Amino acid sequence: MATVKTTVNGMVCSFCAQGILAHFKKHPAVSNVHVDLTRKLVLLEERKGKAITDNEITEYIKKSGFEPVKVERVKESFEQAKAG
Amino acid sequence: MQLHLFSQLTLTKSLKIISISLLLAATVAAHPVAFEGAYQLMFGTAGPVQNLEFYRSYSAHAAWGLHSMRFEGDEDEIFTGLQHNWLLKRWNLPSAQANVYAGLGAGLAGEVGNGVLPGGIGFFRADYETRRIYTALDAKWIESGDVSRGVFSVAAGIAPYKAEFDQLNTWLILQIEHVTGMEDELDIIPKVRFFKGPYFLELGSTLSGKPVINFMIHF
Repeated sequence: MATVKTTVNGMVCSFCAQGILAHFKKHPAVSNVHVDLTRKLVLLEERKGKAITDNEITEYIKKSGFEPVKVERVKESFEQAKAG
Repeated sequence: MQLHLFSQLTLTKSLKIISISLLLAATVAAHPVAFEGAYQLMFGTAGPVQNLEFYRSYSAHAAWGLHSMRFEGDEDEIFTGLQHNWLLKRWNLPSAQANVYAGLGAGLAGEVGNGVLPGGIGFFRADYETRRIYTALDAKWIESGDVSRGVFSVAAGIAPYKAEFDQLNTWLILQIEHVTGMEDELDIIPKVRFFKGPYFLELGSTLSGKPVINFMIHF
């Protein structure tokens, strides 16, 4: 299961960032979503054998009203990435 | 003529029902456009103004829906109509966000119990916030044959702590509001704002002791 780390600008309010959860939770390849306001990150865990594309991630962040800066696929587990 | 009278009575009744429901409900901390696909319900009361809004954001930059406002006075006044909101500009900065919104609507307005006339509403809003500082400027206008009101407010707030995404957020906010045609020239409103997940609640009071309650939800 891969972890995707996306740096996002403008995420200063959890109430306003609810769209990020709402959009990614609907994606069939995403099993877990975590928003970290302090590190300005959206972390995604991909389901085994499935993947979400960088373009989809960028589109979902924009539909939620924010600006994606960088999408990275990291080797850490979702929980490790979440712990920082 | 009968049909006209009937529809006038029906409209008056409907406006009365909305008016009563607004008694429970203000110039909500407006969030006129949410994320694409979101529904947002906002209602509240602040001093002499009650407010009820329900919108569907069909993109991250535009929403439409229902807006109703009631102004308490010698003769209570009410506006109900359909409204379209635009996020004109958003600055997504690394540690801050700033927004400029505007909206236009059309509906019916009048003194409660005295019939209604076609009316219009317009608003402008600008805000800037970080995780610790909040500022906002709002202006709304309602016009019809019988009703002419403006609601203008500025607000500033601080968060006593930086809350994470899944924690309870708390804000201490001071709002100064002016409603044209009201006895009090300026309402000074200290309030506390809480939000967690998709739920948002504000509690406060004008200095003259009128309660301020605002609620919002996204789904």
